[in-house]
Amino acid sequence: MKIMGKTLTSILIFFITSNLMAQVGIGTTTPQDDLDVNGQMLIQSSLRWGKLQTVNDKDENFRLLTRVTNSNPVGEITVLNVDSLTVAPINVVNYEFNNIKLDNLTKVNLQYDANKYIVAISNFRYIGDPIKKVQAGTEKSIGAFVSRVYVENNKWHLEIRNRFLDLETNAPNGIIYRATLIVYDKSYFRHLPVIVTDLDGRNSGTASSIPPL
Amino acid sequence: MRKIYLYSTIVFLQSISLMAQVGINNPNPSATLDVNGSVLVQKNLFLENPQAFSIIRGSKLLIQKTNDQIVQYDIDKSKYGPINYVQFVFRNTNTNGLQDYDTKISANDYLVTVQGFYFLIAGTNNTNVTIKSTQHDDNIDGFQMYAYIHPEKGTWHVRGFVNNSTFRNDNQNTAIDLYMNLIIYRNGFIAKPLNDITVNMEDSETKTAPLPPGF
Repeated sequence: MKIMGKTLTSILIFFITSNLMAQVGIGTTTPQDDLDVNGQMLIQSSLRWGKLQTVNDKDENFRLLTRVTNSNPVGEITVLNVDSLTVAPINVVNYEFNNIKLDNLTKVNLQYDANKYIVAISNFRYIGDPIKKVQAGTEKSIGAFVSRVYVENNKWHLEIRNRFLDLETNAPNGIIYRATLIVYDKSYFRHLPVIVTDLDGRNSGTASSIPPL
Repeated sequence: MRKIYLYSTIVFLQSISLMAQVGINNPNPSATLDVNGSVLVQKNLFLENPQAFSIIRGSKLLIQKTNDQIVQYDIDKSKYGPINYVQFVFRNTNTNGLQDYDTKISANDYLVTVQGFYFLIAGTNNTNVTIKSTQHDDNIDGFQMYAYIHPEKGTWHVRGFVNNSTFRNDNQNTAIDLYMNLIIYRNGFIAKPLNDITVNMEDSETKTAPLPPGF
């Protein structure tokens, strides 16, 4: 059997050495490349590229390649075209919240599944009337303003409000919040476990553990 | 004679010899098919059983260029990363904050987000800066630190200020050095924008926001 293989190689060598510029076509009589497969190619074992070129600083709008694990046959190589995906690895969404009760977004269920996504908040805007300071003993309190995303019941939620003070009920304009949420797909972004460090009253410290990267 | 018609020969020989190795431009093939040159696959390519690689460092992502050539991605050589971080430092910014700044970053190509900020008294490392309303001493005004697309210019602008307020030090208005941390995603590589979502809270503190389609 091996002999037959060698014979084939010899045949190929013969053709190729008779013409240094030889090209081989499969399914085509007019190959455009050293090997031109006019059709599908299935590699059952490994694929190695000896000299793969590298992107250069003029290249733009290239696409990431991915391997599909549920194609038939398995392992189809496809480009990741985020424009045609409903969910990209990173999704950027502008939100506006209006007709708010005073200043309080206490709990907005964003509905993103925490098993699938990581959500981050950016571009935060507080638009509208100020909250008034209130007397707290001999001083005036500014309360504590919070804007955060958090997970509850496996869904991402949003809280934006002054937790201790409220907008006055007669505030003329009210408040609108805007923010850009970044929704990362966990197929590409890892949600690492929480790192808890007890500072025991001090104002500096050292990590109790390093993220397992 | 540049073109060789080997289609039937290869099929014939391969079918009777399962262990055969074939070389193209290569008399000593070192794999089942060893092409000493470039390969054009005109339709689908399937890798049935690639090895898994569990270490991110030492590997490169594969990308397809607009001319269909497959190359390796190298963030040190590419014009951009999939995700890019840049710190903008706005020195000696007016006591009213940064009202408008054109980053000149293309809104077609990138998504820009302000993910952090801080400020110091201009030209110092002094953190002793407070916020004071210009309207009333009892007002606690809201921050706005954000990037937006300028509708006419088509570029990303950033703004960073506190509504109707000035930055103060020792009961005097002060200029500040404003530090803003921007994360810039390349549009169309691994990131994309979705449609804006407006949530009418209907005068309630809790609500379920609509989910974008497909999530």
